[in-house]
Amino acid sequence: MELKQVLVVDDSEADQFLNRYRLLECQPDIQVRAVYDGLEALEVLRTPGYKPDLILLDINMPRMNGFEFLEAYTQEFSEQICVLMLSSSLVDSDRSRAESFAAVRGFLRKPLNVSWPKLLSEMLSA
Amino acid sequence: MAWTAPLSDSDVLTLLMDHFPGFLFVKDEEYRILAANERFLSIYPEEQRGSVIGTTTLEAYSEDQRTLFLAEDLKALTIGESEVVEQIDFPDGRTRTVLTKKVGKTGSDGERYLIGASVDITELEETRSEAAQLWELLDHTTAEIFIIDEKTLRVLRMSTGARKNLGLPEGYGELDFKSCLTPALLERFLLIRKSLALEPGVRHSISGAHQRVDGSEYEVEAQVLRGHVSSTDVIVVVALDVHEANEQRRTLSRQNDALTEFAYRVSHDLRAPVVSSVALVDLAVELVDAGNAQQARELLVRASQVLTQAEKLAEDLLMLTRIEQLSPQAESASLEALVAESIERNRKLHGDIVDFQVDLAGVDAVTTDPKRLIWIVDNLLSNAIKYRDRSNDKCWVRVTASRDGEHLELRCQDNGLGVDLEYQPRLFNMFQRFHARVADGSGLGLFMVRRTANMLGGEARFEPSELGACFIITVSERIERWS
Repeated sequence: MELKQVLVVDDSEADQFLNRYRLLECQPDIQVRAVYDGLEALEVLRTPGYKPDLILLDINMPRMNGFEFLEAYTQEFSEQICVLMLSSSLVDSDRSRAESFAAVRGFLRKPLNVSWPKLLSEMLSA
Repeated sequence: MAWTAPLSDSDVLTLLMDHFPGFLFVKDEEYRILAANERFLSIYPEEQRGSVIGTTTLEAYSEDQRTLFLAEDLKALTIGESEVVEQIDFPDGRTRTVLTKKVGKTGSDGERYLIGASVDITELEETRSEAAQLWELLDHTTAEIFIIDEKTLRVLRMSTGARKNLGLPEGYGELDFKSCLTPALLERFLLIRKSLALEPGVRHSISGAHQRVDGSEYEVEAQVLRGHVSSTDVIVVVALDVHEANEQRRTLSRQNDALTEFAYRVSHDLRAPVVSSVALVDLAVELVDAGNAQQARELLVRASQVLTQAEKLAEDLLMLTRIEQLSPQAESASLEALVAESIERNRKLHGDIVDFQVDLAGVDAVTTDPKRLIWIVDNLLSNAIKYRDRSNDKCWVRVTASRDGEHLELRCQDNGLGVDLEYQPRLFNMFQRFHARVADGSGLGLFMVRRTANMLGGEARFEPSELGACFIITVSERIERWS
């Protein structure tokens, strides 16, 4: 799948950097935008004309966490963008809770590694 | 007795002799039995029945019973009547409790005669005795038991425990069981009452709130069943006051939830920087292999920063453990010196980037745990620096103090970023961060500040301010308030 724009939602600057690096490594022309929490993500998604192909979403973040973002996003936006959860959580309930949202296509453990395009392709075609 | 029927006494006597369900007998002044019905004769062994009439049969009874019989016979013959409840060992070996009424009459021959009638009340007495034992048991039990009339729902009797729990005085008078129940519990109880009428042997459970006479409520779990006491249909309710147990259960549940959340956050927040650092180092190795040492170096610097964040969390967790485990140590200290020391430490750590303004209003010598108090001030000043408004040319922090009785109050006001109104309610909770782009703390600092203030008999609160943030800390100087 060809991705043009990806929104990374993660409060860790290190993880923002790593995600951006792996995305660009795979597809150099991809546009990556990074925000620090769910609240900032909602704000940029409200920008007219901005509609990323994928949201890479962390769980634990300040102000609005990943789950709170998914609830707010589901309520506010009728057209859903694919969301890929990317967390260092090892808790099964986080995965099942994330997968209860229609927009969530997959749950990956950090860090995003070189095999992520294959995993993403499998998730989006599932 | 009214008697107008045109029948002779002997007609009536014959009828009674044949059909009276008790014992009938007639004696003369010598206590000899002159007449007796079949039921009376049946208490004697078959071989003796032929010799009952015309004798006293006193030899068939014990000496005590003989004495009692003769006393009652004499009473009836002389005074005119006697009535007694007596336990008799019958000649056939049975022991029964009987109610005996004897009447003395003068016959047409001028002699005195005695007519006696006895009713076997053994079962009735046993029931009464059981009821009396039950009532006595209820008077001495601290458990909550109600015996309720099935038809009227009046409380026939309740245990001392039930009376006390309901807040009723001794000799409370009549009580409607319905008045002891909250509407929700009453609704369930009335449904159970219907079920009990259909299936008397079934025991039901019910839980909810009982209502004291003062209107307050307490939680109970009860077993409800149907029975008979002194031939009255009753509902027995055995209730257990579970208010305290439920409170403990809820507290434990809350603590367990908090502990689970704590473990979750700690495991996540410690693991996350490690995972990121490993990924950064792996990537740095790739870059070194590719001959890009400069970019690899940048990644290693990032990895170091991330690990420093993990180190800070580990330090805070250790501090949290210390706060909880060690008791505060009281000392006399100079507040001015404490604040000055904290300012100096923060200047060294962050640089001279904010203007510290101190006005302690003459409050200096204090009784406190200096280590804990300086730790609180350190945290507040450090937060004020971290969350300063970088767009502001002049960032300042103002520390003021006052005394209100036993409490020392410290205010820390800044002109920084402040905290949005919607986040203020969870400001002092664990693992809360509200400025992701500005700082990357553990999210435990303010939680520990409040906990420490609480341990020193005070509190920590946030006061909304147009300028920035204003934290107010109170601590007690009375060490008996400390925990």
